[in-house]
Amino acid sequence: MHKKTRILVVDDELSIRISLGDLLRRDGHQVDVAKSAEDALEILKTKSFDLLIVDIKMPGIDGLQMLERVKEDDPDVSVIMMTAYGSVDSAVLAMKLGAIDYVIKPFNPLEIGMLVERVFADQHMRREHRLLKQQVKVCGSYGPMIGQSPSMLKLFELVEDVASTDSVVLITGESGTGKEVLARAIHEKSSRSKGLFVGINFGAFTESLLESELFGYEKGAFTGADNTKKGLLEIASGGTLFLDEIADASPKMQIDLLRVLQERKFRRVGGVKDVETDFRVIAATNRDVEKAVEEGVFRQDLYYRLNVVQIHIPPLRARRDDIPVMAKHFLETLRLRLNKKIGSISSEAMQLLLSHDWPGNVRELENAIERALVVCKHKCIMPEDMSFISQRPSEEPGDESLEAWERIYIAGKLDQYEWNISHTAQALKIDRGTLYSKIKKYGLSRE
Amino acid sequence: VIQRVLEIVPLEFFDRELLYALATEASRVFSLRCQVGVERYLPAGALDTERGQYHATRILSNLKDFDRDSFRLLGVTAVDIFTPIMRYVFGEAMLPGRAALVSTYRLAIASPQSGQPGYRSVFISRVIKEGIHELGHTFGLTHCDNPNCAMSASLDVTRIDAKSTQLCYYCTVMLKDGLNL
Repeated sequence: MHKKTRILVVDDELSIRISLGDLLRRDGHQVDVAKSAEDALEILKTKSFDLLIVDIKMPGIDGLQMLERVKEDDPDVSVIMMTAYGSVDSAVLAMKLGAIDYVIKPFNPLEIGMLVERVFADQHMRREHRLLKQQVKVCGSYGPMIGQSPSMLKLFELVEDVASTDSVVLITGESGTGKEVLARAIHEKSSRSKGLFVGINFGAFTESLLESELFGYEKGAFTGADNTKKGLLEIASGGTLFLDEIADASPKMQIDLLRVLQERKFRRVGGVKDVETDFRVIAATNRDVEKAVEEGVFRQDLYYRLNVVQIHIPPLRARRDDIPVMAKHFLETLRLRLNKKIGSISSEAMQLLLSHDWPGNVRELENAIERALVVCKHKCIMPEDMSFISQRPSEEPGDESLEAWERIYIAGKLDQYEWNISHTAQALKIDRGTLYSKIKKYGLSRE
Repeated sequence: VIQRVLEIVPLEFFDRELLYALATEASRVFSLRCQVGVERYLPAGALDTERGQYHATRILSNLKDFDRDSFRLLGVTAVDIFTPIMRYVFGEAMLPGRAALVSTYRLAIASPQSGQPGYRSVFISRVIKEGIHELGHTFGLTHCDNPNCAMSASLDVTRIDAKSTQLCYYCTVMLKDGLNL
């Protein structure tokens, strides 16, 4: 998908504005022109650009002064300086002030063509770098999504159908089932795969932090906003926006999101100009959103916008056929990372994996294999390498009583401290005698 | 029915063989009747004495008011042309508009095969590609990312030699839209 680039040409000479504007339009760019730095700064108050091409020598505010002001407001903006009177001093100063390049008028056709290509390649790289940094911050870890069970094969078929469209997708499923992995798979198979996959977790941040991450902000929008920052909504343009744990969005955030989904434009925090954006939305939740709508905690109109195509990922316990193939897959990938020469899982250990309920789903299975690999002293994983599974009580109590939860909590702590009564009692802030009586009461044992 | 005619306008240019080759190919690519007009003078004031080159935009501005019956006009000249922002250009066109211009000056002298057998056909091929490229702009086509397409940017002769006289599928679809305007 060819993204039209917005370029502002600033030059006091009419013939340059016309010829440079024409040159760039022939490359498919959207070009605005300004006859002075003053006019350009006025335009920049209401419109944003991917690249500024600015003449150095202009009456009034000159190009270098303009560069300085522009960079103060938005250090990310790309600026090429041009001049008819090249000098080493002005070139050095322009680069010091943050210009990407400095070119002498008139241009050599080959030079300017390659320069503009390089600028956009640099911009793409910088966007990806920034995105990766943000993703590390906002997204949880994920593993690959594999499976051969009928329910998963049906799900993969649905993914193929959905990927080729631009429809909004709502992915539901318990924690650890691989909702983000599925969202990435849809993105990779879609026509937007050349764009970026941008994820944000609504359960992980405060409302104000989410707002600034999503919408970005203008310099001075709040204390500490020293520079203008692009938000994830802007970075996702041309790609896919993944809204994780959407049911946790606050009422205000729900309204803001609804507006963006309807109008495809938004304003940065503290901003006055609309920023247009174009992304595909994939949302995910482990909660029952329909129930949340009934309870009035999730907006019905937003739910309808998000629930165009719903994909439910079944929990691992409902597709036990997938456990062996997934366990082997994790063994293969993790042993390389951990530099272990363990090649297989014994049939007894596999039985253990098959009998466990996996409340943490695929993520828990991955962690279990990693833990087993770390402690394993043989050539294949044995049941004793996974004692933490056998000793673990069922994931949730059959009833909701305090006693049932207390039993699980204490059993978990005993596992954690390898049944060292003193340490466990200390962690639970009860005396050893009380812990013994609880163990007796709940019939807990190390077996 | 008024037939839409694409006219090749020689501007102090006398290589008739090249002009007819260009007309034949342009007619095929744009599906329009194409004719070679009479020789004309370059407009007075087009020469920039300081640069020793001809101002492409001024030539184009004069060319667009030639023969009002023609649907499109493609000027062909042997002089070195420039725009204020470029040291030289191979051609210039209105985006979109009636007139386009191509210069053979840099297409000839920049050839590595100059003086060698086969040079003539390489030269004619370059002029045809540039002529079609500039005419493409008059129909609103912008530069294409496909290096084989005639609408890919002509940054140097190596890239011109690498592309074809044809429009890619995408540009052909866009051309159809332009022709229906």
